[in-house]
Amino acid sequence: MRGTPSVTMFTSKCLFPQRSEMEKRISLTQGLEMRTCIESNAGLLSNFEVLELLRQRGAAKGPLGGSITPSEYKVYEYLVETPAGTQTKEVLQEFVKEVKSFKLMEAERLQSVNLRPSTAVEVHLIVEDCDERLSSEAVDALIQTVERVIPSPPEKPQEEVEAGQEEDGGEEEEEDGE
Amino acid sequence: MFVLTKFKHEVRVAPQKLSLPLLEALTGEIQTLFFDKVIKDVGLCITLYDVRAIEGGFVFPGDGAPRFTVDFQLVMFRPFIGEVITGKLKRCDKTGLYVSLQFFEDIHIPEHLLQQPSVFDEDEKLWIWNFNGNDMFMDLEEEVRFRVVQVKYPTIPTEQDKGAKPFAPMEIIGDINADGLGLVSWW
Repeated sequence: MRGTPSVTMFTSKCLFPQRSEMEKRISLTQGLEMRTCIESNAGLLSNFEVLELLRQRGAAKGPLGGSITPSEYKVYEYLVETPAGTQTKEVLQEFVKEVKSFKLMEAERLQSVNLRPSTAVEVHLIVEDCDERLSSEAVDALIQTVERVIPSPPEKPQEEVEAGQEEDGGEEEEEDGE
Repeated sequence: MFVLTKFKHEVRVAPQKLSLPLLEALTGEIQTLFFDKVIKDVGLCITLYDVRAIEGGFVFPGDGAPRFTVDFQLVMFRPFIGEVITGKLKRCDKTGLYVSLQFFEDIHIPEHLLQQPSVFDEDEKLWIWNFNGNDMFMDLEEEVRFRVVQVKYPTIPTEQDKGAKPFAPMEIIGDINADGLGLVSWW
């Protein structure tokens, strides 16, 4: 223990520190403000991975039940309604294996997992220079792979959703008009 | 949409928290320090991913609490340029659309990045895309798919007008002028 900085702090010398010790302490207090971001991009996370992390922290119990903060719960609420809500680890592992043949970039794979494209228009949005890189057969094959491997998102039947949203929209318009 | 970011931060554990297991106490401190906060050029902090190392535990003179240097990873919300995201249309005015992701509200789709030709209906207070002679309304609360064009971190204003809208530390500029973008129900 003798000679370590934590011990010298409690000796009487500490009250009248010599110059060298004073300098040491200044450097320590400067260090207190340290908040360094060492690596701003240590890896991309898919929506499913974030959702799984929040579930582990007790998100399913709601903001009051688990150890989760209200801001985390908002993220959970958003993600549960995206295609990530029904995905599992096995599904993603299989998907990554299956799409290898399409030679997609990492960001494109991530986007197809997050958005679950089911039409050619969506594939063209996600894949850069889609016309040059994928033939229309390849686009169809990719859509089929997506639909076969990734389960459909947790949603009500399409018609019901649309009808509900139209009603909501109508009410909003009236409110705005007033 | 989400990115892992490594941090190294000196965390002060208040004396009353010392009865808790160390990791739990540090997690609590990191939670209050970082969660739901925007760090400039890094993004909005969502949650803690893992704690990689804990060092130190020094008590400085004049301060009754130990400080630990913690090495940890946070999940940040920082979409990359060109990413396609779906959100809900919350508000619109003459300058364009405002989209919300529930946990993040400051997404703006300016007038010039809407589908061409689009017009603002003064009576309905809604944007309309005129597609081959058909009027396509952009109703509120509808799902919108947009592409990220820019992520801005405005500097904190020193003075603010009384009626000004609250300061947004992080803003996303979106684009819906392409096939497949815009209201999800259109495609």
